[in-house]
Amino acid sequence: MRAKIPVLACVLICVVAMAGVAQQGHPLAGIWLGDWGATPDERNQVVIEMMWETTTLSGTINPGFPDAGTIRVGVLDSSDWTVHLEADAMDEDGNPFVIVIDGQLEELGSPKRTLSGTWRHGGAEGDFSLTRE
Amino acid sequence: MRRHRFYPAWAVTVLLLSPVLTLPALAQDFDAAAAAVQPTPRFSDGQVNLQVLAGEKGVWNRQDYRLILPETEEQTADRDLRGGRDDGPPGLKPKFSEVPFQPWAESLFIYRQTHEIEPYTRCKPAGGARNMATPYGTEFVQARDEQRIFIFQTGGPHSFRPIYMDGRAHPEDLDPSYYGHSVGRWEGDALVIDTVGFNERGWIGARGAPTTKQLHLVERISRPDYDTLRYEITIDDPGAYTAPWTTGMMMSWTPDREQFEYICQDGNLASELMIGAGNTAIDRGSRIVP
Repeated sequence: MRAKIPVLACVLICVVAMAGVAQQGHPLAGIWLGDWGATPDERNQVVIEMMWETTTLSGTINPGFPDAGTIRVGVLDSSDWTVHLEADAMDEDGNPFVIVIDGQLEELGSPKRTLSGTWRHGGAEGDFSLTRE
Repeated sequence: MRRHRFYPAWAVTVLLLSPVLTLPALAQDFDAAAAAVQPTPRFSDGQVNLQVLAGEKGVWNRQDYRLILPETEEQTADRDLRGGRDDGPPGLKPKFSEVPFQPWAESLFIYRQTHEIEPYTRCKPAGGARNMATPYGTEFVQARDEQRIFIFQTGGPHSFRPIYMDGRAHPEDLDPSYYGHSVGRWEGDALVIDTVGFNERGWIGARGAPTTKQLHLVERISRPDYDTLRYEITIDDPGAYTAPWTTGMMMSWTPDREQFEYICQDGNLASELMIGAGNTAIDRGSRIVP
């Protein structure tokens, strides 16, 4: 993942530039930036783009990369603002794996709202923290 | 033991006659009120005139700008705290439980009642009802030869939006914007404005009823008499609501007032949505996004 950082940085610059200013629609829609990792020292940068259409949440984890994950399950429980995402991805050898994210949405009224929680990625498990850009 | 009280005859007589004695005065007040209601101004072809008449001054000001009537004790207390008590005519505004929110939209609306970061009060444009309910007055300009109507607002971003009255359709490839793209037509005495193409950066009402990019607004504006504007709005947004719903507000003509230069950014202390990075007004390296 470390080799991806310069490329990822370029992608981030592009998506942040497109993201513009505060989004006031569905709380999850937009571009989210942050990282996930098993320990505080082992972090992996991540970008998630989420879209809301009528009643369906869709999106992509790390768009533009070979191991990009397509969100196939997206649930927002607005009674407590918890989020459950499941995404299908493939590793560099073409083996499929699933990313499962469970998080808590906070600072809803802020243009820089946050989403953090647990991240399961293949056999790995860790925490994540994202900020909407 | 309670003693019976006896009132003097003159007092009883006055009491019984008081309605009769006051009727003429009441009738005079009623006549004066009726006489004070001036008819709807019209152009020579009969079309309703929404704008200020030549030689006069005035702007339109909102009455209660709420789109949703409070129901719970907490909601009512919040309304009273903010001084909004005029619900308008019966049926104009729905109660909270009558709004067909999607669950997330209902929760976000409730959240916004106590965690308000309204883009409009940070100088951002706002479409729909919020555009009309600007502080310090709203003004219409009916450019009839040009087949456009412009709605100018004094407060907020001190901006305007055009309503195309030439029969055109909405463009197919719209760039989403704060105000969206508006086309209008007259249905009898009502101006009907159809708007699509909103971005998701504004609120269409001051209290934060959520909307998405799927928003389609239909506004009906009528002027039943000289001093009154009735504003109705149908919100069709399948991204946030399970069905279209209609609300509105009454507006009053404020004579002898005119629009003035209003610069929202001057002295605005609510900077949260005005700064591109850092989220602090004193970060001089931040990009200002007015």
